[in-house]
Amino acid sequence: MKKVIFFIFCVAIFITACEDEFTEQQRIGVQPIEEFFASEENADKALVGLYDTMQETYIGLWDLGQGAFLTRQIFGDDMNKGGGDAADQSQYFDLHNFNIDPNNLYTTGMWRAMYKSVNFANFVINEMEKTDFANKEEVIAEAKFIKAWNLFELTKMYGDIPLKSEFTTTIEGFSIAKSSQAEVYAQIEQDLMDAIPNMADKSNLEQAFRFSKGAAQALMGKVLVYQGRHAEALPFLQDVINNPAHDLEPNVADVWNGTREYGQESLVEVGAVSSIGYAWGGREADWAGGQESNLYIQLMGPREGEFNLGNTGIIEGWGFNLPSRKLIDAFEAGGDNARKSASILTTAELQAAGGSVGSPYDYEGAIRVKYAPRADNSNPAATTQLNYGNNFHLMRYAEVLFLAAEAYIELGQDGNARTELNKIRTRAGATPIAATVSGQALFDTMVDDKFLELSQEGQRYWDLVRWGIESPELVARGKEPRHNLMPIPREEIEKNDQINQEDQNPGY
Amino acid sequence: MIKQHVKKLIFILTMVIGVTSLAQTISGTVRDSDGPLLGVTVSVQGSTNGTTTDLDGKYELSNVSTGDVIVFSSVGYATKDVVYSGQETLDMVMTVSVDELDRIVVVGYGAKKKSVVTGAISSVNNKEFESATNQNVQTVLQGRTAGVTVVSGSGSPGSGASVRIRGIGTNGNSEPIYIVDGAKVRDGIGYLPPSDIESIEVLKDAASTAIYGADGANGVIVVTTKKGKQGKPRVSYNTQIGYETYRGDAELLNADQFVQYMQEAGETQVVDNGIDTDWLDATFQDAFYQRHDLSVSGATDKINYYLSGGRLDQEGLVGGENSGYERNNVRLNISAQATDWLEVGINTTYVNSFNNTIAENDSFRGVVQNAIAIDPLTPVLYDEGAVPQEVLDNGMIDGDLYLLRNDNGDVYGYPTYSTGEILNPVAYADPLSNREQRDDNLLLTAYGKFKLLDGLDFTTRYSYDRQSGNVKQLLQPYFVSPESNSDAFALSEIWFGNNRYFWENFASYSKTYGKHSGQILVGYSAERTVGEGVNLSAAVAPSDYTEPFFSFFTGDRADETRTTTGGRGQNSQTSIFGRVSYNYDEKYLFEGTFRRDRADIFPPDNRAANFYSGALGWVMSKENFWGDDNPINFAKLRASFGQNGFKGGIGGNSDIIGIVTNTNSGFGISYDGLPGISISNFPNTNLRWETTEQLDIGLDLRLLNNKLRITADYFIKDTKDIIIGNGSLITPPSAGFPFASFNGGTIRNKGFELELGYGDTTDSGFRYDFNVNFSTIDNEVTDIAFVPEGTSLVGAGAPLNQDGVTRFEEGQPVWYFYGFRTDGINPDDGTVNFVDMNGDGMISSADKTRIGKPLPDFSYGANIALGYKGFDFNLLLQGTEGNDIFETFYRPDRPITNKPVDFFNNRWTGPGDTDATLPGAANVAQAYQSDLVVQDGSYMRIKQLQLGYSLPNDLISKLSLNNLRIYASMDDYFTFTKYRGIDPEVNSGGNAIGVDRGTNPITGKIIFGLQARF
Repeated sequence: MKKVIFFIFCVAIFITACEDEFTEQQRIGVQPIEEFFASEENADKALVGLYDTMQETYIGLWDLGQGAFLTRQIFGDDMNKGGGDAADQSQYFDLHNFNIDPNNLYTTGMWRAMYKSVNFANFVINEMEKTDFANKEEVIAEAKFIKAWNLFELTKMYGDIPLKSEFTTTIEGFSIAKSSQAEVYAQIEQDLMDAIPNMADKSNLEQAFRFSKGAAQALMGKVLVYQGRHAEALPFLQDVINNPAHDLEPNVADVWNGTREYGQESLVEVGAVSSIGYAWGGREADWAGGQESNLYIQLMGPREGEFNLGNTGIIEGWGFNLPSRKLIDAFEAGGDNARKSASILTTAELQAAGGSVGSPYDYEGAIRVKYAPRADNSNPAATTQLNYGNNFHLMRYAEVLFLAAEAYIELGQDGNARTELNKIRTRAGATPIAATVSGQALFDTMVDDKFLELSQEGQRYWDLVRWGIESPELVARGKEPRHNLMPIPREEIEKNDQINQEDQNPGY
Repeated sequence: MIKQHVKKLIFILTMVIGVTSLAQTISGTVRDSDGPLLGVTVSVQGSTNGTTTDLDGKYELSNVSTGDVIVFSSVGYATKDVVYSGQETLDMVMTVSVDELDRIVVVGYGAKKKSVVTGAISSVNNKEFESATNQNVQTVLQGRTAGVTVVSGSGSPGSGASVRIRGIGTNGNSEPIYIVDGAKVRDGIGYLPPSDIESIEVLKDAASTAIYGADGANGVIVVTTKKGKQGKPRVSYNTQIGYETYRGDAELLNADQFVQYMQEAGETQVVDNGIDTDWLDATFQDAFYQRHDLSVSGATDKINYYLSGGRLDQEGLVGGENSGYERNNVRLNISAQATDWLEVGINTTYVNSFNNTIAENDSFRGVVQNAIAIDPLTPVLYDEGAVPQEVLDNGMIDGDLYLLRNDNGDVYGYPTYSTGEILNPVAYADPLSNREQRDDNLLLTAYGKFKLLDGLDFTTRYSYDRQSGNVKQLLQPYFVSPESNSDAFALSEIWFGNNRYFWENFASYSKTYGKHSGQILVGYSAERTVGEGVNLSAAVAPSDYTEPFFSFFTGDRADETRTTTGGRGQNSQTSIFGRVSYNYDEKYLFEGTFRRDRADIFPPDNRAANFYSGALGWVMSKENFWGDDNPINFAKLRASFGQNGFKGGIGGNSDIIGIVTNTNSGFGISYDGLPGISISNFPNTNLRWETTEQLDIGLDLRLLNNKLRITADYFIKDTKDIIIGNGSLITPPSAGFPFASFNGGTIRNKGFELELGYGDTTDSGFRYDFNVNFSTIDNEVTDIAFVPEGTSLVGAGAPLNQDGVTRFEEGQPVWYFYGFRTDGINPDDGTVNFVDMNGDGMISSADKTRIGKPLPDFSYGANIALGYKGFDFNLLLQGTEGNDIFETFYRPDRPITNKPVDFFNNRWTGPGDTDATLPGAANVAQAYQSDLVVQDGSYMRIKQLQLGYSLPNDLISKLSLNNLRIYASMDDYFTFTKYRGIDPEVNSGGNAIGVDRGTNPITGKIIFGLQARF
């Protein structure tokens, strides 16, 4: 009996001794945040991760509703939806025709993705503040720029929005009410003013993809122009224009053909690489948001089976984002020049190049050359369709010239405006604006030229909204004044305690 | 009762007559279906005269008189009695008792006599399924017990099934845990061959499962594998050979109907081309099946052994060998009474399987989904020279021609009209299904049982469960459409290994004192699971491809692109448990359990949790007032209440913000080639155990001389603090990152279960046994946390449906179906009349509401077994009633796709058509998010229809056999359902219960089998 009791006693001791230890070991693959941010190298990785959220937002795949590059231009009168038919990715069709349900995949996905950048920027700022690394101020400055960029995109498209100014982690903290657009602009300006002094000059970037001081100044100028504060905007825009590190690409086609990525015209550019080697049946694509190649090149290429592309050097894609008849007419009215041939290719031009056209859906007489798929932009050793490495411009020097010109016109400095506009027209191969053109006519010329220069880059619709210009083509498609803003996603209203249906943008 | 009186009368009479009759000696052999039985007690009723059988099953009993009742009894067998009529020899065949009161039921950490069990436990014995064609433990249970719902996810060979005990109590993984010979095994024991299983007990109520504490919330399935029996060594061989076919009667539009439908839809380019392919016919091909099992077993009083080996070879209904399954298994169970105080043993099995799989259960890319969707104007194969030029042009990849061909080199038809992801399903299942999975499973349990004192045992038991293997896939270059093509050879390989080790130590002390009987159990266990894997993929340009089957590890070319991802995870848990059982005279029964679990998957403050249970039983029939002549021979009332925990559905680390270096799809976060990081989620430091509380009231009855068995149970099961793994369900999108796993509410399941059995052997030797089971489930989400009132959590998706097709909401059944309610078809234009639920005058996503539920109102099963002399007949059926199916195999974005013929027959045909139940062809896409694609999923399936014949003893003994049975069986051959899809047994699991994305149907099987015992 004694033996038995002793035995049980031993077992009991053993059990109590090891119960805690066995379940208290450090879990695998877990590194506490503080430990991670103790290294400067890791801080760099966090910054790379932050840039990666921009990639996710603009060229992340459509399954999650990402791909804001296409979504933010789907409303414009410069493009047709395209694809196989109306039902192909029908929620783009819905947006294009202003049938915008608050639950639309793309407006919801864009909202989510941009807020991811904002919140991750807040996280990085929060953690970097605790360090004393040499790159501390620069990383914080770039994070603030990315935050400002996304808040601007959000307020431009959704109006009054929840203003995420700090990093919160609790479920209660997620639910915050909408702030007015004025408050959002104030936060954006504050972040940009903080960022500008600490950001590197374009000539001195550590990696080419990183955003420079010029990008922040350009954004500040744009934010001020959007608010009608033209005089305040001009110094920021002039700083960019006068900085020798920034200029137009001499050859306009180089802006979009992948040869001059992160070049002198680039201010805010989202990158993609062709090196991953995506393949059907293998690592197909990253539907969870981490796509590294630019699948939109494929999505937006001339529809397979509908074209013979002759010797144009363009190859087939899935047919989305075709030039609208209005855009084709505008280019044709401007005459043949380098910018036109770098932007669109008409049926006649295609036939002249030995090609032909079947009956592609939504085709109105031209394909898009800008960002068209070309084999040499992909990976020769892997599936061409899945591995385009093209970057997308989100903001480039030409836009800064337009913004400056707009500010000059609004301030009555038409001469300066013509100077900036003529830089673009000269590069395009178009005739300069005559010195006689001024006032409203000059403004209209600026509008028309911006339509061409920045066609199918996601600027047009938001400029029209801002300028209050009604496009008959858009009205025909169903645009109403309420569509000047996107609906707050239904999911936000359902899950955010502080926002309810009464806070929805009017008309949704 | 009457019969017993008669027997008594006979007994008295013989006592009187016996004075004058001569006492005789009787001898004979006692056997069961496997051979002679050792140790069967043969006795004269009412006397002390008795003996036991020897190694050869032989006995000799003297002093027997005509009219004596000779009783044959042995534990685990039905007791037989025979009135002696003066013969010299009396042989007896014993049959296994399936549900006798003295049957020993395996419970957690012990065993108990059925009559004193206080919990709700159902048992299934090997005899019930040894000649079934079910190839895994889960499907064996289908239709056999009340309260257990088994749904096969797919009819593909080697695929498992989901088992739900008493409804769905959790939002995570609702599978029960499996205990095999004491070892807690990983999820899914589909690899374990049923032929090695002796018995399965299903522990349903909390009193039975509470001893498994934190793991038992979904019920516990205790599997006991076979042992040797004392007597001569037994050699057993079983084989089945047969084939499988598609037995459903789903029908799609034929070519004429399709052309007409597309014309009406405005797809005027679709015209008759003389081809009319029945794609279901073409896709579902008869498949061959065979199985062989061989075992040798035996025992002495010191050593017990069971050694077996088996092989299963099964083709798939879809794709033949491309979805085939091959399984090879060996098992050795051995135990030894080393000393009078120590028993040691080891149970070990190794199973190696090869499973080829094809894509299924996918609304976009799956063979069955494609078979439904592809236009019937596409040929299965092109005639020689009839390959369209466009196909040839598109097939030129990298300067070479790549076409989809069969083994003879014939070119498969490319969709004539259908677009997008849709492929010829036969081609999809052939050259485009080059995927092979190899699994190696090792399950090992070793134990030592120490007898420390009389009644005091200590057991230490170690088990190790290992699954490792790889998945290889090769895709050839091809071009069918922009959405379906490859311009390189793509190879991927996944290598994985998962371990669980589990160490248990427990002591039990039993004591009987007069009519008091009690047992105390205390124990401790520790377990650790480790999973690791690496995922490799490469793409090789056609011009660089040389080897017949490229392996990731061969070749070292610089020009190919390769990627590698991988991961490792580990979880640990410790538990302390105890149980007190007491009964007085087997009349008043009590049991109480306690368990404390501690798991590192939870935040530090919430790692430990305690679980309790208590149960009472009252065997009324033992009371004096009951009386011997009561027609109810046995009556037991049971009541139990208890708690269980659950920790499924979480990944651990919920309490911290994790730094992640990969995206959700496992690839490294990078930008411009530089490595980056992100954060996993927002932390939830309050995550705690999910707790299930269950009340069970049950009644066990035996009537009509114990021939009628009735077990009835009523239960209420509340699962509180359900763990919802996907925190994004409650996170506003403006938070940017998802919240961690969270405790999201309470689910209540309540139901009634009934099991009836009646069996006997008539005097003429006719044997019959009827078993029926019936269960109801009423399932409701009673509380939901974190989301505003009236909103719901989004579940499973469907093509181009952002709102999801299932929702989780307070006051509704778990993951009910969500969509538009309709009110007929507009007779003017053929559009669908949607119901404006919120009354705002317009139809938008806000009008979606509940349009169905995935769980049945009740389910049932029945088994009829008949036998006469050498013949036996078995019929097993199973069904559900009141469940719906949401069809999500439609493609709203691909208008030129086929569908069930219902859409043609009942469509709106023109203005004024008031009979239509489905929209006009042009508006069919409106149906896809509405109740028009929610169908009644009730069905009744005849699981087995089997006729067997056992050769007579005198014949087989000449062949040196102990038993030889041959049989023919039709398994899953007849199904009765109104469902218009491929098969009503639909399960996409998780939040997609009852969502049909197109899975391989359950096959009908015609089987010829042979069982031989040497």
